[in-house]
Amino acid sequence: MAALLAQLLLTGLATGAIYALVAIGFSLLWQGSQVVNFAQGDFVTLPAFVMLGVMGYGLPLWVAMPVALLVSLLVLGVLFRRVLVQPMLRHGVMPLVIATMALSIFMENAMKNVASAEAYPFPGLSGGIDLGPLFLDWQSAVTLLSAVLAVLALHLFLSRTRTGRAIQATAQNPAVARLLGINVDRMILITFLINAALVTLAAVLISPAYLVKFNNGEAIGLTAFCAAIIGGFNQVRGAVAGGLLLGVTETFAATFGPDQYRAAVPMVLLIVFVLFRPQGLLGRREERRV
Amino acid sequence: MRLSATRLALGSGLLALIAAASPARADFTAPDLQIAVPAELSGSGASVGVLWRDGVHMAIDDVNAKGGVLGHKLVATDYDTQTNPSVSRAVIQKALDGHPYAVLGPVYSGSVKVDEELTKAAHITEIMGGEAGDLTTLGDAYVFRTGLGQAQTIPPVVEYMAHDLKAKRIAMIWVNDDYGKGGRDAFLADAKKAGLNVVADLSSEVGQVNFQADVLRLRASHPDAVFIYLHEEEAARFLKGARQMGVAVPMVGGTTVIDSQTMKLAGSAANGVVGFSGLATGAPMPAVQNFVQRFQAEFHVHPDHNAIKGYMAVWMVKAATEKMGKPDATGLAAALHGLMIEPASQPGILLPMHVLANGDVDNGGFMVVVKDGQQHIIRIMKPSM
Amino acid sequence: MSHARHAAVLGAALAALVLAGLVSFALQPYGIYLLSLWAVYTIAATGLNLTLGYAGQVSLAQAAFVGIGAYTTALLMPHGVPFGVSLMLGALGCFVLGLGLGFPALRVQGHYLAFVTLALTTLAFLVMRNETWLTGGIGGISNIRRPAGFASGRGYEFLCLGVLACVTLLAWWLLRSPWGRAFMALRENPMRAASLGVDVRAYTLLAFAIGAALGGVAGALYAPLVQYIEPSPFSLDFSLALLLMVVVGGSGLFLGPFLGALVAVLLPEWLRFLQDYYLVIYAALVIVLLALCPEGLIGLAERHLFRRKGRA
Repeated sequence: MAALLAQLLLTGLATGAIYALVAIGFSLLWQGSQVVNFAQGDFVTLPAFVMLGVMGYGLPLWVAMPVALLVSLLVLGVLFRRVLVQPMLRHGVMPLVIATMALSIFMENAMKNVASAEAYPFPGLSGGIDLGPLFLDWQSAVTLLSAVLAVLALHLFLSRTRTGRAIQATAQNPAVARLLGINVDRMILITFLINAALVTLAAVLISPAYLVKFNNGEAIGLTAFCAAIIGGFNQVRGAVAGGLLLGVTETFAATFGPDQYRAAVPMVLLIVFVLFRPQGLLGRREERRV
Repeated sequence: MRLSATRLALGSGLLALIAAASPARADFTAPDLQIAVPAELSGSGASVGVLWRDGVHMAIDDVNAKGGVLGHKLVATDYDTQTNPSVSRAVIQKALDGHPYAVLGPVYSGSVKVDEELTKAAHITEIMGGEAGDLTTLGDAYVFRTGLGQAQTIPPVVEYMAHDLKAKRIAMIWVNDDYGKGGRDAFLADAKKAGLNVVADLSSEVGQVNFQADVLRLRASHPDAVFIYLHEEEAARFLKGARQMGVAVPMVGGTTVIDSQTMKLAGSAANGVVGFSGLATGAPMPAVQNFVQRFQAEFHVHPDHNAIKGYMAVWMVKAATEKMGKPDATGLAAALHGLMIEPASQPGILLPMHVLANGDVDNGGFMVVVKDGQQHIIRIMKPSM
Repeated sequence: MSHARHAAVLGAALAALVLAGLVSFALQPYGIYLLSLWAVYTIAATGLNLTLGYAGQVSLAQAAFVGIGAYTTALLMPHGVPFGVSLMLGALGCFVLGLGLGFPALRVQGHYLAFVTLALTTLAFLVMRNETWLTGGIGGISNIRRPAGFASGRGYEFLCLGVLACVTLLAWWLLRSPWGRAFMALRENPMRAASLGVDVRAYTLLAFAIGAALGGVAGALYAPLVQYIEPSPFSLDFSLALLLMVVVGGSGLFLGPFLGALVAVLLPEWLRFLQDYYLVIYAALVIVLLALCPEGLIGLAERHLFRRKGRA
């Protein structure tokens, strides 16, 4: 039993690490410019397809990755902000929220038209190592390690560098940040770029197991979305905590709970948090913005 | 003025081009027969519905190239159900308003259930791709399958597990929709009769991407064999996850686990998987292989059983019409019941097919094992006569 | 808005209904079915418009409310409960659920109603699918009978249009009542409304609950229209589709849902030639519309007309 629990914990953490990566980007966008990005899951699918496209020319994965990163930074970072977010923000938050829903429909169907409704295999690591009662497969190990490194790097960047601190100041209060002489516009752009990089990393890590399909984003996006809220919508640390908590809870629930209701787990957690702890695990209470 | 003149020239040029491009009208003296093709062309069922539609179109081209049905040309009109029952009902109504000769589709059982009422009321034959068991048990005399239903495909699987594998403890994983639930219920009933002990009964979601918890739970139940009833992609994700976690027990399932798409996606993880299928694309028969090659050449995708089913649906219409001697839309269903269709007279039917009294068909099937991305037939089941 | 303008809007809505009734005499069963579907969508979207357009809250649960209404009717009618009563019960159930769900969500500022309603849609879907003893599960409920006297396609269309007319009058009265005026004030400027003594949260909550009840009404009509229900039409996709209907027509405008639902029903017909690209183009058009004119097509038309008038 103890072995099973340990195994579940390990598996849950590896799953949660992915949720955390996608959820962090989600939180960053919210902090940077009040974007509730309902297309976040599809943001993970796009770089996966780009990599497949590049590999379709016979190029190896390590060539495809930087290409996908570049495309992500350009399309999901710069273009997304310039074309969709900036023109829309003057109308308030709500049209923007709905626009990202429309964007999700747009992206999924565009990817379906280009790449067909079929799923595609994606290269990954196979095999693993038997640690007595535990079994650690290489793919999960790499996923966990990469996610931890990425979060650590992001944390150091945000807390130790001048730019990082400027980004945090911007997220907390753009007006004050501007008074302090911070280039708010540039800081917001950087948060969009960080999000684009995170979803690309997530795409590399999950595609071997999840395969690449036009509507994969629905499942990934919803869970990341719940993770971000559960952890604390306005905190990067919160997104990490929420992602891991959700990954572990989901794995345990799918093992011990009524499996016909497994999809309810993130949703029930979400409702419980909204009821009893709306600021999330680690979040601050949100000040009212006018 | 000049603009409109240019437009006129352009327009007439285009018309001439279209006229030149369309083949000279074959000598069809009789009026056309309208075939309505409602299918899941968008939404979650698109990967299934598009193959069905392409199969139907290929068959219609084949039939027309050989003079049509009793000299009548078949003309298809496509309708998109958007994988949504209420839209499905709308488009079937639209199709019926145009008085079609037959309705071929849709594939999803939920959509078929909505449509059945309408085609029955209009006395129009509906040949569909659904596999759910209850579609042909409701006493609708106008609805037909083109392939085996779950009542026919599950028993051979249970028998294989009990006799060939001598398995006692079975873990099962199924997708919680009408397809998976139907397969699961049929399997449970048969497994009980065969004395199999189901030690794990795992429900999973459509589009589920993460199967790690399922694999862990399955491993913890220590089964002798695993029964898989998932859609192609989910089956591939599950197989990869199971192999990755070192699950080595035999895996057996329905048509989808040995599907070409599953094999492509799961790669080496699909090796050794056994499944029972109605007409499989891997069937080592010249007629089937010829179909697969031609389909691939025309549509640039590998066909699956849905493409074959759509293809055969048209030939069922042809066979029944020729039996009647004249096209009679309302009599088509009666002509189909009990019909025995032979590939000798209807080459597109690929294998001898017996249309049963309730609208089910029996055209035999194959027990298939996957080796290195290829289907290898273990056993051939002949249709009941 | 002037008194005359309000009356004109109501007149336009009712005229549209009469027109829809008359047009049906020239249509095949398919066209009649589409018009009935339009009426059902319009009712659901009108409810959502109260939440989104007037109270400024995104709700992703409208599909769940439609589903609850549909299942209530489908389950009660075979037990001899009259259609009108089961419709009312479904609406009441949605109203109560809306209050229960909206109350905690609206305590918190921000987008929490969107999050909670998203969760509700998923949960409702799971219950409909898994509780086979009640809902028939995946197999759904077939052979749903239409109420006596409205069995034919056109008869049932008239019933849908009749209910839509009632909903239209109700919504119009609601927005014209003192309650509705406070509501408008709320939309124009929440801070000022609050300082004038309008209890923002109570109004928003009530708007959401009434919107939910209208979703239930739409569902009650949907089940006998399609005559078969199963869980999948009531998933998140339908909530998104309804949301887009409100936005495309013009959120916060009385006639917005009428036009938005019409576009949703007819556009797939008109854009058939686009085939697989239909949804891509539809989504892109919605984004462009939102960027140019968040008040939707009606807002766009009004702006255009006023500019013309100003010039003349």
